[in-house]
Amino acid sequence: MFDLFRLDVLLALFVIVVIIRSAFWNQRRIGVQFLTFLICLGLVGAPLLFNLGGVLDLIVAQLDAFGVVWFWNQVPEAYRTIQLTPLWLLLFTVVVTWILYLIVRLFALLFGGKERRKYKKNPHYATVHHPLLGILFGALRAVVLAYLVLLFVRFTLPLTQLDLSGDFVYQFYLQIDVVGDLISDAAAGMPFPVFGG
Amino acid sequence: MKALDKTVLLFELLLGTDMARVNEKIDQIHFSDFYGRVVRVVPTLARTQLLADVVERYHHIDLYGILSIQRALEVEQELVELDRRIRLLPTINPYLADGGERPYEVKTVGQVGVEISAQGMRFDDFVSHQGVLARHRNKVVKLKAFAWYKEAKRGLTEMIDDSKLMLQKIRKAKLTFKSLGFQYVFTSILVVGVVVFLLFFPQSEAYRLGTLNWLPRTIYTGVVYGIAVCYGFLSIAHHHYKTYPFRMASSLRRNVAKQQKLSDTLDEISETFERQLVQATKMPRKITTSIHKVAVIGEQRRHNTSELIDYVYSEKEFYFERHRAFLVLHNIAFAGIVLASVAIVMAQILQLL
Repeated sequence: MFDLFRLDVLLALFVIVVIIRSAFWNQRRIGVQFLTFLICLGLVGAPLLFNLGGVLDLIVAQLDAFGVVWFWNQVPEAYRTIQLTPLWLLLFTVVVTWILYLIVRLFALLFGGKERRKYKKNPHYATVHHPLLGILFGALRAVVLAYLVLLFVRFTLPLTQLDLSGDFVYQFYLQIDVVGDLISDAAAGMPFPVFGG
Repeated sequence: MKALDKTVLLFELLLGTDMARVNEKIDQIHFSDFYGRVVRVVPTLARTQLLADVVERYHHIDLYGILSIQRALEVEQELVELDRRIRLLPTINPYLADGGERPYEVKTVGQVGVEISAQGMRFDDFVSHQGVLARHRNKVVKLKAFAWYKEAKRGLTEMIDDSKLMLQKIRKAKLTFKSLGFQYVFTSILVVGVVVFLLFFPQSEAYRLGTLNWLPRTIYTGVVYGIAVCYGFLSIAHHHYKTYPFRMASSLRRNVAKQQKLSDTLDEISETFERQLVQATKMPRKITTSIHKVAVIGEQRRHNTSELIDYVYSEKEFYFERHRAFLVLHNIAFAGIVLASVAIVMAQILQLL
């Protein structure tokens, strides 16, 4: 019911900014980093969403042992509803993905050699600027990031009470969203509200 | 591609030789390889025709394959200019300087090299050897062409060395725009704060539910769009500054690769070139093309080097001079975000009233 407010417009702006930024800066290294992040997201997200090897149950079972439940109980009750559990799961996944990604990058720094040494050997090393490729790659990056943003919006709706029924992009996203449903299903099986009690 | 617009047209007029040969040479007129062959002269001259006819035929040049009409007009202008210059040159001019006319006598005067570029046209020094005898002419042309080749080769080596030095300097240069970095971080925090306030805080619940008065509601919506646009611009601007050295180094690396390739080509053909020079009047086409490329790259380099020197030795001044308009917009965007944050506070006060 935001009079003139439209999520469509904001998302379009976001996509344009991401694409332009990518057009400025499209080294192979940047592309590899993004792909690494996506792989980490898959590696973290898939076991959590599909509860592979009972990993989600295992994590939930260990929460109390690490004192997480105590911290959880400090969160105001309004934010511990069953409706918001998918949001916490999504945030947890993203945070763990970032940690894994940083570890992978650190290992790459340790064993991959320094970029500068490679430049010294070959001044043309992997650093030619191709704006068009940057735009194409930026489009891919923008789609992935926009999807993450929409996931975030979907799970924060109970908190924000926004009315997005007239929003074209959001309605279209709801029709095709598979990951969001998986997260909701996974969250439905989690005992978070129990902690809140 | 910009530098390549300064197309260099090189050709030889072999005076006093077989006109069929002249035609052949004229047929070899070409622009850069990027444009391909764009000019063709209909080769119909008979053996005994005079230079005046050759000149006249520039009016009947058949142009095709030109990339644009603008380019065609430019080429036409260049050819008209060529015609004019030839008329002005007394030694080969069929028309006298006083306006009188006399038929041109075919004689052995040497070799004429004409170079046309966007800056205009110049005759090569070969023209000044018009008095030399045929047997000496060969020697002169040979020496001249060889010196030309040597110069091109030396220039290229220097260019490559300079470029590598500049690349090193760019890599070592550290860009620290503390004020811009501060603005970006500050606005990021501000934007996150405003978004969290609008989406999650109980004070803005009335806005989310659409029950707010029209004035604060309009201010809130304005703030959302204002912040989105300003922050988008700031983000792009910040990224633009940060990645500028990368793009500059990238274009430099491309030039180095091009120069290296050309240098290799010159090395490769140098042996055959020297052998061919014995025949003096024939300048191998390969070397003309290469020298043409050297000229084009030299032009590019002159442009790039001044920019690079500015960049390496006076980074900040260079940036502020080069991106003056961008920086003004940057500051406007920054001010926009700060104003939007203030507007949120004002809307809160209005709501309370």
